[in-house]
Amino acid sequence: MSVSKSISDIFLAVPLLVSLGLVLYFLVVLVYYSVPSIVTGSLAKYSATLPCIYGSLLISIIAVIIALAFSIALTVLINEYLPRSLEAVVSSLIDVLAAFPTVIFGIWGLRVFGPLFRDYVEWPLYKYLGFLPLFSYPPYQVPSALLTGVILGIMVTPFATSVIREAYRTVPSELRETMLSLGAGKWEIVKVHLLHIREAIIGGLTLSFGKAIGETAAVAMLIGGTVWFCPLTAPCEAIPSLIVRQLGIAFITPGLLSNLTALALILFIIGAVALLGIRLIIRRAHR
Amino acid sequence: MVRKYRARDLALGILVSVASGLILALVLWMLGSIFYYGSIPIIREGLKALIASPNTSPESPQYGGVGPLIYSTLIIVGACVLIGLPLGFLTGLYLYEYPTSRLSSIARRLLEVLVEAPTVCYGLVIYLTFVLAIKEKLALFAALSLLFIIVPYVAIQTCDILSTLPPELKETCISLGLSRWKTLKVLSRAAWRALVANMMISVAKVLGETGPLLIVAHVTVDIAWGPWVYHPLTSIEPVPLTVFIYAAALSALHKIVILGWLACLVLTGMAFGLFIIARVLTRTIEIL
Repeated sequence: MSVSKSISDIFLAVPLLVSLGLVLYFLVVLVYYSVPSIVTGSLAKYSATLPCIYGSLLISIIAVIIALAFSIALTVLINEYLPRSLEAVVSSLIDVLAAFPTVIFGIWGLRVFGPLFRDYVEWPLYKYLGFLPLFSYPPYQVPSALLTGVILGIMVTPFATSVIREAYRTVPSELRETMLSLGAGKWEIVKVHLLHIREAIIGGLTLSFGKAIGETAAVAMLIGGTVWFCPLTAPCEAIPSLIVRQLGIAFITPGLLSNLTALALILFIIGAVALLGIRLIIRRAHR
Repeated sequence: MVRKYRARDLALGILVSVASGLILALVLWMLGSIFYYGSIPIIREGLKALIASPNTSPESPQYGGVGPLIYSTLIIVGACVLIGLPLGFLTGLYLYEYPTSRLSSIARRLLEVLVEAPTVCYGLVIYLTFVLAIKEKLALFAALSLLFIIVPYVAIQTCDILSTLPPELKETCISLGLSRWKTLKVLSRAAWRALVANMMISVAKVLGETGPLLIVAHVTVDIAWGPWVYHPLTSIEPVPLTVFIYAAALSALHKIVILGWLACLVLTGMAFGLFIIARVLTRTIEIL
């Protein structure tokens, strides 16, 4: 009995150890190749470091703002306005959005949505708000930081929506009944509900931020690939797209490989910190 | 007072409907674009468009097709799934069976970090260790880079799904004197719908993943049937659908862009098929 027990224990532990090895291998390689660049200061001197971190943060923040607007609108629509029969239609359409491979957002953004977005949104922004540094670049070409952020926002909306919707549903119904009996309108009810679930909203947005900052294919297609501290309407560069574009020449350029790996490590750390943040928020909400 | 309330409620209603209408219209617009552009080569050249290889010559009016791309995708995703699914599932079983052991709590935390890591990092790690070592971008490496996505996801989901089973079931098995394997078998069978649905979703995730492949596979629209089909994993020819879509979208040749849309149509069809199977199996599981 004890022999067979220990054998089954060992058999179960083997896959776990293999998976654990996979994770450790990933972390060790990432850190090992970034150390030279960080230690020698070559990362700090590398001209793309700061602009690309800026670009990654910029497009992710735009994405989070877009996702915030859409996901709250959808949550309120589904819970306050729609009849049950239509709810299924709307939520399956949102699920469709979550099921699209991300590269499809790239081709659609570049070939269908982008040209119209440039003509009807970016040009007017440049024309009327061009005195602001944010919109000071004439949008001659389709790829731009704003377009990338908007497409990423559409892409992460279903993830934010699912978190916020679930939380909205768990608000006790006594709250609504009390407010109705006090003569509150829809505006007040929605306001109080949203305040009640603010932790879930922040959690959903952090999740979207993590998804947006880690996205590669759509960003590489839409952002344009110019390394600078770009205005919104200009082509820009982010860390994942920089890695995709530069890795091909990295092995003939001394130090570049290590710099790119260090940037990937920074991206990984930003994502991990965001994940840690969600967990802390959830833990606090549970208390 | 009442009038002020009504105006605000009306404003809320309009704001919410406009924003929701906008995002729903965007979804329909995307679906419409994929079907509209993606069906052009099929209408022009029939089902040959799903078998032939892309015609990259600018002079010829023929589109060609996406056959080798579908084959490459199936091979790469298939190899990844064949290793990744059992590995992830068994890891999940361990996490569920020994929730309090130090090993599984460390493993769980690390796997959770890996699930949300930027996918480009997976490609980079494989590139640094394998591609640079032999100076070739074999399709096998693409399959390996996708392992990082499927294993943590399946492991964590398996553990979570089994944890939702009533604890009485497990207690009954143990009190009947069943071995650990038998107990796990009974539990897995009780939750098989959710487990299989989750595996379908994980396959769909891998199928649509592009980030790591842009680094470890050749980014090109130039692919043709050839002798490589007999040993696809150890050759450098395979180009998955996702990578082709990336390369085609940036191509200057209009018909290649259209072929990219056909690839989108095929890829969306595969992903939706998997999601629909998952949905039919269980109506409670989340798509995320």
